[in-house]
Amino acid sequence: MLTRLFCDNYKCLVNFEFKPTPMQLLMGRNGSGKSTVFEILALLRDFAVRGDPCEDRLLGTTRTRWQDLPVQRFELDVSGNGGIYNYELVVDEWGKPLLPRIRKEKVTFNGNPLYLFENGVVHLHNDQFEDRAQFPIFPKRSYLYEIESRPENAKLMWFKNWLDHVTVVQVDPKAMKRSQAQREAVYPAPDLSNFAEWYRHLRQDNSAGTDALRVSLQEIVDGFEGLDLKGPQNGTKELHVSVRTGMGGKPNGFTFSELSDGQRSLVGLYTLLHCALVEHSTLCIDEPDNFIALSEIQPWLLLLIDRAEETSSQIMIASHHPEFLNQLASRNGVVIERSNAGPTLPPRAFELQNDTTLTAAEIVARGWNNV
Amino acid sequence: MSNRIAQIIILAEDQEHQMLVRRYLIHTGHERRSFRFLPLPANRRCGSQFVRERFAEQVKECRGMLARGASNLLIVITDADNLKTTEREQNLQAELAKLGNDAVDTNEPIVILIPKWNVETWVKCLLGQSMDEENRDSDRPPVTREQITTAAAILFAWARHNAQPGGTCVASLNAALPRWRKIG
Repeated sequence: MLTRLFCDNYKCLVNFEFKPTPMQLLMGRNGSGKSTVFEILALLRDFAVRGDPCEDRLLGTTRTRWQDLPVQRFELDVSGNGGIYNYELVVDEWGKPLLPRIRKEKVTFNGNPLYLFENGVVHLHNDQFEDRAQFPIFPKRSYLYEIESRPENAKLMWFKNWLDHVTVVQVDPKAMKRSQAQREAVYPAPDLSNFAEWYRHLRQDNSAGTDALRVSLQEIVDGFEGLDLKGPQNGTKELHVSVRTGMGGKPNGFTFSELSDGQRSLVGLYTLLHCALVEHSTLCIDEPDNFIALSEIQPWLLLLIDRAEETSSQIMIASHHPEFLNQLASRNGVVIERSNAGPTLPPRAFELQNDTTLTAAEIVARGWNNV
Repeated sequence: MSNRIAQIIILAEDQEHQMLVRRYLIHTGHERRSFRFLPLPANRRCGSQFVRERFAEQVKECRGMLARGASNLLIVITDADNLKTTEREQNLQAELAKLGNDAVDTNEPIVILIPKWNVETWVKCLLGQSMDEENRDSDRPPVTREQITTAAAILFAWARHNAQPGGTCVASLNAALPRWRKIG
């Protein structure tokens, strides 16, 4: 579980530290930095364990505009595997034209080194923290991505696996319209625009999750029978939805793109719930309430909480919706705010000093408590 | 597209209360999607007052639904804190009287659950811990979600017809068991 995120010189986050809990509702006004927190988690994941180069999403336009600092710093603290992991990344600029490069990257477990890149040299440590290999690399991509599982690096692989299972999503049903799945996609796109391809992968890789998804959708969508991938074994498949309609309950097939925006959102949200939440994972969802019927929000939220508990997973939700505020704010709410369009302030718990009996949504709607 | 109709309305003062009720409801076999948990108070210190202020309107809605021939169940759960459980219930009934409404009758589909001091007392006694309801529990480490899940399973067993509650069952829970049984 992520227990701390530190970031300096990334957009509105300057010397920013956030200590999330297992269930966290990120509250705050538009532009306060909630989505940026999620963005950093996705960025570090893509950089450290999915092989993205650092020039794509670091420094450049992502540095804090009112500063002129050439260095970005990030840190994650993660509890798990019987200890605390710390991940540190420092990026600066180099060459002509100036391009981002890794100045330092480090993973420790309970303060002991597992991986270090510094001064152009990678140091690989084993599970006993002994420095077993050193070699130079070009500081453009993380070498962590290249490291494969071996008997002596189980601790490091646990961290990589955790980071790989950080899912950051803002469901966009309009982007999900594509029914064709040319190939399998191991990971969901940030807006679930590759839903058909991700589902194609899940059908092969996570049948328990897709079975549970079908049961959930049967409860939610009138006449729903299942999601089917139609097409040749190795070619492009098309995602279909089988629904019984009309008085006789006659089965009909629709392509996934023919569903309404709200229906696609629901399918996406329940797929995240059943398939993205695996043991000790972290799921961040930005505004999950978009497009879906009010009566569907609470059942999904409560099932999500159950599922997180079953899988010892962590949930972070950013939302302005009253349903989320009224169920989560008093216990799990954290306020992300900025002062005078300056840097985001240290997050604070949504705590009220006065003896109000208003709901959290009403307090937010009134602009009280600076939310 | 959705066929969801909320039939069980839960007015609770905090997440722990909600969770105990929800877990219990699941044990009884009620369809999860029929639950509707009403908003929680923004300020956790005002939970009992929050419930009291909303009690009368929810009873009125419940009765209105019944009058229209729609079945529904209202579950209200709030701590007695430093009052007696009977006093807390009288406070709730007084809110109805203020509006000229009849007090809740035992035959109505309205269940009022009131732990003495707080719901953690019930959870702990369900988990086998000896609790003294005469004195406030000074040692109040928060109960975990896992503990509430376990406690709800035990509560379901204790509340069944002809079941014998465990030896650590506190008086306020013992008195409330018929009400839990009424839920299902």
